[in-house]
Amino acid sequence: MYCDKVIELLKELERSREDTIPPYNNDGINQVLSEMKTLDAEIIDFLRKQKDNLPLDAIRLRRAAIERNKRCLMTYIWTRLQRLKEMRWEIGAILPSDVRQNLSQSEIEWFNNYCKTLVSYMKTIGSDTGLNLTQDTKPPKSLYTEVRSLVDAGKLELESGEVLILRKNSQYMLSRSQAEPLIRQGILEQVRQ
Amino acid sequence: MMHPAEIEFLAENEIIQIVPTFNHASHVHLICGSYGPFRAGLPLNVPIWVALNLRQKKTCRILAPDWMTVDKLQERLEEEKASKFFTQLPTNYYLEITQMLLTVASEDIPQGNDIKTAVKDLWDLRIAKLRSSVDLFVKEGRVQASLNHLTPMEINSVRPVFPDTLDALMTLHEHINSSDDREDSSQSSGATPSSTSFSLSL
Amino acid sequence: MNFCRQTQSNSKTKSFNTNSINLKSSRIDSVASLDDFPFTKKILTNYLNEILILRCHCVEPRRFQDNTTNIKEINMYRNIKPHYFSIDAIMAAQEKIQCSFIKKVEHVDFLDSIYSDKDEESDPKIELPLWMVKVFLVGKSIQFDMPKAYNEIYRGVLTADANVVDLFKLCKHFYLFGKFLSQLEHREAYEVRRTLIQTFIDRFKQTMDWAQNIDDNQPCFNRLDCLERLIFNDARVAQQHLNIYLTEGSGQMEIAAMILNYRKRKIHESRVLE
Repeated sequence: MYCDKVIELLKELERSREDTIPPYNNDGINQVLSEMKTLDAEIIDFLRKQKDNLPLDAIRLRRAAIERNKRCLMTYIWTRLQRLKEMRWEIGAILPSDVRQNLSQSEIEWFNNYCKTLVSYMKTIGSDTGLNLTQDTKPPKSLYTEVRSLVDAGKLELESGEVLILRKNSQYMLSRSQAEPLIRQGILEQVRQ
Repeated sequence: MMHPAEIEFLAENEIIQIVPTFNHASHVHLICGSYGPFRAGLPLNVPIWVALNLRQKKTCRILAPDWMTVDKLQERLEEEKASKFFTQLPTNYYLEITQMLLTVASEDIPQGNDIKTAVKDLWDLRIAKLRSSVDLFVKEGRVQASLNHLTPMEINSVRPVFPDTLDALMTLHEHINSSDDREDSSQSSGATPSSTSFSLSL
Repeated sequence: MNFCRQTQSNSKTKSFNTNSINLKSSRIDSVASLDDFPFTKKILTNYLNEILILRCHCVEPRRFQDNTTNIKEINMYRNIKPHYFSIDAIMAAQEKIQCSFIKKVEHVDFLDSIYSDKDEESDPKIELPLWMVKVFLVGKSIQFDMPKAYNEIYRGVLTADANVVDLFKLCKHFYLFGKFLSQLEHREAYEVRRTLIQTFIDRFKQTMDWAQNIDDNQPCFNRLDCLERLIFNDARVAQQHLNIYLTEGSGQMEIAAMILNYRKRKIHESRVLE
């Protein structure tokens, strides 16, 4: 039946968790596109062959199928982009490698552009240094915070220029702004008071 | 929807009395106002966030707000029970202020645990009231309601659900012939079929 | 390529114009891959334009909800109302309906078999997805009976006590599919719509109660239809925030939920491999 393939694509998305992006199904998309093409050719064929007594139902159905295929394909792309966008805010500009390899070329391009636009926008806020919108999504309580390193993360250059070597299970006092992204990435953990 | 931490942030601007243990002759000028002078032993008004910061550095003692006594809270609780509507509370942030003060300055507040219980009772009572009003509102299909004296945190507890529920109901109520989206509208526009509607494809 | 944007006067559909490009003509001349497709490109550029006013909404999304198209679209992702890109709405229109043809429809391959099976006397029956039924209704070639979940018997059950019904089992997209059905021309359409609204209202309190009591509510959750699930999840997240705030206070920075889930999955996968 028409549109079954594109529904499969959407089911793939539906089945995956909302915070993941399944592999970009290029084959599936091409199959849908060629179905659309065939449907279109058939409509044109009907119109050429029969000037009167058009098989209206058949034409309407094909047209509806083309529209629906289009809608579903766009939904597929749109939903993936929404998830990708959330990742930028949740995780940051560097995507985990297995998310990255699931993206299509244009999606990677889009993501890079999105990051660029985000950064250049944030630079324009405020007078000189700009404002990092991804930071302090919840009101901060203090400027500094005590953290524990969960892994041997290696060198970390502090805002003061000092270099800190993060070792597993050691505790450090860091500025909140520097600690927050690392906590979000799961490298550090905030010591509970 | 706001995060509870964000509402707490708003609550931190409320004014509270502290007794500093240090001297600072001039006013401190802040975006939210000017405070001071600080004289050891003399109470003065400051925003809660200032009070908490000073308290954490052990440079002041916080005076519990007037309403923050077990007796006063019990009174409120009785009043709330007796009233069909929401009663007006002395502050919009009773839950958050209690939480903050008891975390940072529990020694300054007498009967801290009892106060905590009383505030929780008050909160539970009001939330139960709020939930049943929301439920009644939906059940009776009303379009307008006015609820006075709700605090931001209380409103926030129904905020994520209420608009969604009304959206869902509206979706269901929408006129039977209205179309739900573009795909369908292009379908219904084909209700008067003629071969000209396909001429575009030629 | 004949893709172009269509401007619609209808204000309701207007909000979709920036991100969907209407296929005015159904003609597609050359198809290589989606990357060559203008609508992909256009969507991508639109996103670039749209981007950033937006995440100011990290403070409070709803505050920024106003009538401008772009901002509305941002909130669409988790919007409860069906919209052009809503997977739920698409899936609801994919639910099957048993119907019979009054007129013979020619030139549609998958319909040919139903005519050949039987003689022409009795109306041939077939299950079709809702969006197709809609097409055939335009030409009055088809008639259908309300699907099981919406027939008189089930309407009776739902009216009697909606809270005991496992809606998800009955129909995954109970409300949306029902709504679409009731928009079709059918003598029971009005009744169906009324049952939908009443069912939703009757079940609302139960859904809320489940969401706000943080026990393991998986069995309850499983009985909710997709629309109710969205509401349930929203309520659940808010309740969790509040509970954490009340027990642990604020100011704690946490690992991103995405990373946490990602790790859990990794651990799970490596266990499965062993």
